[in-house]
Amino acid sequence: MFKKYFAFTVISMETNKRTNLLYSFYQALSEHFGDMQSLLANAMPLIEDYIGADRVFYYDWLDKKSVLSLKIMCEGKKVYNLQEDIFVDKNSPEIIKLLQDGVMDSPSLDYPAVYVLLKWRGPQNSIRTMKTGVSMPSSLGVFRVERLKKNKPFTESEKEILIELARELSSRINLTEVDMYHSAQLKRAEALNKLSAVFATSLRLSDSLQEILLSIQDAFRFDRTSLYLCDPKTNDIIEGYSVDLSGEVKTLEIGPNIKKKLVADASNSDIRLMIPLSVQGKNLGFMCFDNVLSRTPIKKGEVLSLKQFSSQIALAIDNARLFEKVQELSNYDDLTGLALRRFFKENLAQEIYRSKRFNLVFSLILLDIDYFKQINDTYGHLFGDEALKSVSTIIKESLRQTDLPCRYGGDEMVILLPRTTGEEAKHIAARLLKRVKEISLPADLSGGKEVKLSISQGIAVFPTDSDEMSNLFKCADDALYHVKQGGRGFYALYEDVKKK
Amino acid sequence: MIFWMLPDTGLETADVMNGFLRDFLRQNPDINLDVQIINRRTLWTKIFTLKHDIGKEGCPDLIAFPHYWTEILATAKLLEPLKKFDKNISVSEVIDPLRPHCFSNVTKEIYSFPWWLDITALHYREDHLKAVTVNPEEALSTWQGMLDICSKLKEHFNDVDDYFPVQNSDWRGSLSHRAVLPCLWGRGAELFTQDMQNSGFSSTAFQEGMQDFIDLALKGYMPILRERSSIGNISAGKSSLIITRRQNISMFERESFKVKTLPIPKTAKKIVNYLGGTNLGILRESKESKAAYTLLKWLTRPDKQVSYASKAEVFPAFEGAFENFLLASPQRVQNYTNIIASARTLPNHIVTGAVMEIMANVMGAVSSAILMRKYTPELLKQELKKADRDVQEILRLYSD
Repeated sequence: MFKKYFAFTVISMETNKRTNLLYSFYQALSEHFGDMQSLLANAMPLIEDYIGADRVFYYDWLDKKSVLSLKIMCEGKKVYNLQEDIFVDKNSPEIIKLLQDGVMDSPSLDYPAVYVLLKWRGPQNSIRTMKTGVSMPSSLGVFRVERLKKNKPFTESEKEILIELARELSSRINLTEVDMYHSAQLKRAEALNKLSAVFATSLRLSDSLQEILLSIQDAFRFDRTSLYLCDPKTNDIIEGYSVDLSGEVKTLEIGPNIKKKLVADASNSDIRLMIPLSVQGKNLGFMCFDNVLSRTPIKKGEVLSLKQFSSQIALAIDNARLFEKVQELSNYDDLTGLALRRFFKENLAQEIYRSKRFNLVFSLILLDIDYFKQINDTYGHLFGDEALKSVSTIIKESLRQTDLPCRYGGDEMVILLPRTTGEEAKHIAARLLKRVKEISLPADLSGGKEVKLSISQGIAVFPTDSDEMSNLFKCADDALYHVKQGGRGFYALYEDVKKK
Repeated sequence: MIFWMLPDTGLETADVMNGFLRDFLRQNPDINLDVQIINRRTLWTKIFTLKHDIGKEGCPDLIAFPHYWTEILATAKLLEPLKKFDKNISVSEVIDPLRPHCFSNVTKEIYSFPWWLDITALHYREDHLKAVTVNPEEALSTWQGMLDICSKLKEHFNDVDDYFPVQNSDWRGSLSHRAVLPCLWGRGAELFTQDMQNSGFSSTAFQEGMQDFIDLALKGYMPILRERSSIGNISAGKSSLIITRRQNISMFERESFKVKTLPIPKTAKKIVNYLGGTNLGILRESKESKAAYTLLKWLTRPDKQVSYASKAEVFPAFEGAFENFLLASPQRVQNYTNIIASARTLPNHIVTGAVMEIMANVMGAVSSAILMRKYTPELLKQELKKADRDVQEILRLYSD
């Protein structure tokens, strides 16, 4: 009776001790740990202490690579960040035993060392399990406790405690990973919200693209983020931009078969991701993300967030494109495609400012179509419009990209020629006149009669003739008047006219 | 001030460093120093996220890193140009091969300062080798000669439990992606073409060089992916040879037996040894940048380089200090004169760190395949083909 009572007391004391130990482990780990490293850095010294071990190692079980990869090691309560990979063969009897029993003695160390299995569902699986109620496969890890100096084998009862500690630690790892997943999702959501606000305010396409790239780079921390825009009609890539770890937005060279190559690179890769951008079935382009330098896998949560957000990015790009189109419509004349007076004057003001600041020269050509009123009256407005369109086309085709032609009103046009002297402007005027004279208009609009066009042009030069906008126009107009007085169909430089 | 350093002396790094820095802290009582030991893999991952956290709490002020990362750290705008602290800063004292590794190739400014360097060499237990050959130096002059010696050693020490002729010096316990470099270079293979435009992974010489090194594990001469503590070492008589970049002279001097040092055996055309180094850089926007620079200058002082080199079994990175260190020990002069003459290093290029990660992955895959008894030369070829594609892509993206 006494013996039985004694045995019961010992078992109770043992059970109490174990319960107390587990409770204190539970309590110590119940605070919030921002990441796995801090959780393990707190847990390992406790395990070392509770079980009377000399060293504790924690390994991630990387099933794909068949290795246990050391994450943290603790000795004398000090925690170390070292590297070690141990091959693990899932079919070996020892590992089968570890997977079944949750504990095994080290098969190769010549002092007491025990491996203990940790199993948890991980954030993705936990969330899926919550939704479906179906238990998903586990993430695995192990810790190894060693009595290198003490050289005292671990008893069965100690191994049971280790299994219980592992169970508690597994649940803490799961909670930490779920927490980390949620806080990362939250951070991404915040970043994406911020992005939405940015998109709403930056309507210019180039600004939007820059903002998209830089904000995504900052929020998701990829090595490189690229954005390719496609022609909505042909689906061909027309331009591409990227930002890498230097933080600078660069224009990409678009080579042949680039899309095919990018698709091939992104498929079957955990360090690359490609997401199409489309609005209402319209393909706008795609975004590519990669970690090819750091070789860090892109997380599933990141993929999910970016996929969800891609429609907003596409919408922002579409809006910016529409805005540019609207701007184009409001700045350019519908019939001739030339700039309108307001837009021209804004540009001229900027050119005057720039030229004054950097001591530059520019010219202004004021021109109109000779006898345009008679043409209109004789052959009708349709024919007049055709004449205007043809002359405008010649002007656009004959100028440099930096020049700005404008329909100033009626048949009157003005051309801004940056960094162009009077003599150079005369050459351009001569070329325009020659080409306009070669225009052949559709005979069916003129009742089968051939109508030849010509233009008169007056040229003023900044700053020689004037450094002020309205005076410059006046100088060009005076020169034009001189040409008209002289019989039209020619050009004149104000400076020459003034001398006469 | 936070100083991130690599585990130069393994588990003892923190203790060694704290002891080493005692003088510095006495001379600079205002500096509150926190030394954090971070392994190379973790540090590599961290530099990509650090960029977004720069200036925030917990960021290091001073970091130690492999010499060939200077370019990527400068490109990522993680490091402060050192002329900010000293207009007249110069690296003229730094030994030749490592000097370009202090600069950014783009801005041509100095971003890092070398702290120490190490060189691959083959060390062997003379008593063990004498048991299987009359002339170890000659036998170990070629890679094939070394493999033959390993075979004889394995047979000779057949009754010693867990004996492997070659001790694995790789920290991860895998096939080391840095120790393989002399085999590759010795075969005439290169990681990339000289203009850094193309990968060299697909060449026959590259595969042959890899195979040379892999043979050590494949033939069972060197343990891989085992618990580190289960592996016996030269001192315990469980191994006879070791290929390592650490000189280990002070450790070997304590033993009752003699350890001799040779260059890495010639694989084919020539003997090449790998010279690597650790540099120090100051993080941009560090609030303790002045203190960090004070520590950087202190650690790289020639006398401190010499004293740290002895503790960490490495070499000083400054010419004068290096020569003094070498000349102080006749053993070192004898061992390293030829080795240094045939040493070369990796380029300081934005892609080098990533390419070495790719190499580590190839070695990891090969190591697992060997242990699963699935390794074939065809598997190596496939792994190298994959790696070649990856390296080519990185070069296309970053090599302009």
